[in-house]
Amino acid sequence: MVTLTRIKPSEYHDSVTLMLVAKALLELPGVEDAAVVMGTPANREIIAAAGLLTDAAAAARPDDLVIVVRATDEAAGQTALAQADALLVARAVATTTTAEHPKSLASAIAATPDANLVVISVAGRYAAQEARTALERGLHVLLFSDNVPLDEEISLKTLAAERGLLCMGPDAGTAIINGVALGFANAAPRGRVGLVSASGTGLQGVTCGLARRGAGVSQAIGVGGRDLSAAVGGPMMLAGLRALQEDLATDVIVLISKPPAPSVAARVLAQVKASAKPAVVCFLGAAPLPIEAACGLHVANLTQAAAAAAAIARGEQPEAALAQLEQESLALIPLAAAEQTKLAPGQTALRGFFAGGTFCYEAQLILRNLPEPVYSNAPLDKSRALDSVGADAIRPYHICLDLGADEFTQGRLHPMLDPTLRNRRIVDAAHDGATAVILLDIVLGYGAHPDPAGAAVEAIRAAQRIASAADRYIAFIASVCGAEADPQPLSQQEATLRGADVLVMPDNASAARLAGLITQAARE
Amino acid sequence: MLASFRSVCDLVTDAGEVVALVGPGIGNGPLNVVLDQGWGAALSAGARFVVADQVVHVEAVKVDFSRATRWDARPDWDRLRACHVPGTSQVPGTSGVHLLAAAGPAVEAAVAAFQQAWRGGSIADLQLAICNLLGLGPGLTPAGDDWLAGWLLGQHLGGDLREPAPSRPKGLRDLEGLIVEVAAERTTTLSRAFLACAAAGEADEAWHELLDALAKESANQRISESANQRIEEAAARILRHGATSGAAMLAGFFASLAASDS
Repeated sequence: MVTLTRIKPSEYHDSVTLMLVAKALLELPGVEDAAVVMGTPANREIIAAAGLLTDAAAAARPDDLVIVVRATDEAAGQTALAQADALLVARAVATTTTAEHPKSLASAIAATPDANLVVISVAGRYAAQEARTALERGLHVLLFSDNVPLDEEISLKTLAAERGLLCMGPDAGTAIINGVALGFANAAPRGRVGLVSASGTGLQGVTCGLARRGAGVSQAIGVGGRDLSAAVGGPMMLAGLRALQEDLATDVIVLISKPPAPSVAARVLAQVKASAKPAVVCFLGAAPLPIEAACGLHVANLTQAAAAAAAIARGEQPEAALAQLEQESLALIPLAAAEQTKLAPGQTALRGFFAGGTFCYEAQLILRNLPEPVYSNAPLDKSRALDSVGADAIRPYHICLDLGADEFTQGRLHPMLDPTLRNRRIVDAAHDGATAVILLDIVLGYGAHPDPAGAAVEAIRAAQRIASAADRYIAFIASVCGAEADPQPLSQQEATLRGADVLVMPDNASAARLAGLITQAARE
Repeated sequence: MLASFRSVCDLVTDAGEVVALVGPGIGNGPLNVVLDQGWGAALSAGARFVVADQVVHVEAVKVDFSRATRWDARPDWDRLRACHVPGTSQVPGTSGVHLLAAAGPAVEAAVAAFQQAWRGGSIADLQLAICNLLGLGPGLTPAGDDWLAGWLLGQHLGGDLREPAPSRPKGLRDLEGLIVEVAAERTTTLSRAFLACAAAGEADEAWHELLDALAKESANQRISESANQRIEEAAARILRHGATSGAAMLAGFFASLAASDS
């Protein structure tokens, strides 16, 4: 390994140029790390922290441009330095002709006058003002940002409703509009099923479930997790529902949410009843009766929602599709029994580590009939909150963690992007002699990690080695939420997991059910 | 000659003073000599220049200052201080832009440390935070300096930087002197010159326009539609300054206003 430095006295370039050159150097073969900065003391400290501070760089003055490259050998390093020179010259020429990127919403709208939808992803404290500006100019909004105050959300959605616009979010992570995936979404085929969802991963789960069954999406509208709260009142689920009821390209509608506030559920279900278009209602954990009274089809989980909607879109009876799912779940029983025989005495606990909040919630719903409690940072009820009892008291019981919750993502990337935190949890769980099953969701699609399965497999193998050294076996169960056309093709991701002896289930509900069956068998 | 760009040519004297020859599209600024027309030929960084009889000679280019008119780089701070300037949330066109996004996490962390020191730390903490911020980030003027320059402009609304002010940390007597002293060692020649201007209350024309449009007679007075339009145009002009400099400077300015409000 060599670290080479080039000092260019009194050479000035703009910041974007320097960042782009550094990025380009990092992509060269044999280059491990690179920095291209002015030689100010603050920048020298940054490159020192990266282990790139050579003697020449340390001696640089603030007016010197410093290029440092760490490479596998001298030739690769020299090539990179030469490339840096060439790129700096090229950028200097290019900047005289490159078109400007818009730096504000106003200039973006001016540059694209035909646009009718704005995606806003800025810090929460700024987001509401930008969304208001867009709505006032007559544009629909997908508000990806979270941490938008509740009163601002109410005000924005009131404004949108008054103007006949959609304000998807705040905290709307997923949508597919006219075939275009926005936020964390999958390359689902186009079709006749329209969806409105207060859950981002719930929307991904159902759109991918539809894709597995050969059905496609007309529109998938995310409304943000608080839309169906009593305070907000569900204005965007109602607006989305009405839009899909009137949409000639939509034959069947799917509504997805955790249980709404009762008053809001009543409004939404009244709107379901007002149209003859069939609606599949997946309010996770909600009672079936009010939904059926509104002529909606009640389903208990995301898999059932996808199966029922796909059947209706094909002109078939959804009841048959749901019965088929029940039959398929029976096949899990012998598989669970076989897995149970591999466990050592004392291995009875389930550890679910989820990137998707709704997958964590859905798993807890499926596991709630286990005789032992399931604890979580995002529990079904407060008595099962992780902080309600001491860690030692919880240890022998089951745990499902939503690793995308605020307490895990402060100052770090979401686990769909950065697997580090989950991988650490996997390895830690392997050291615990009580761990019998580790349950994972692998989420694919635009915006997600380029190889989520590959990123998990290293930790899975490490955990397997730890367990094996202690004469234990851990059953790894995963479901992959994705589509074949995603940037990370579904079949390849599933094959990667199978290659690491992971039991790959077609959906989160089946994975949770299998995990529950194994732990139940272990205790018996 | 320190640096040469399409429309800007930065000169530095043997005494370390910076002057920028700028083309007609750039506009007035504390360091700028605005020319009626561009110089037409590429100029070489490192070349020597000479000033004689109010004429600057740079390679084959001659710039005659004899009929130049002066422009005052200091906004009318006394008038602005008597007015009310609203915070970020009320300013259209800039409020939603995550202004520091391009500067990177190191700059964001240094900014957060500075703000913490400003709110509750000792003067030594503040000095350390300024040291960590100055010269931080890539580019012609590092983003940390740009942010700080914007912060300084915001502070001028609270009073002279060479005097203590109620909106500043207790014991801080001469903010201008502190910044200039630390900058002497910590950043590039060009950035040092920009910072010294900001510390002295001098700003580009676009900043004059922004401050003027922001100023209201009272806190309760609404910003008029025409003022909104002027704010948006001035902010857009500031954002066009450099690749990231204008954005970082606006971020510092609005953070400064927010700190003074709280």
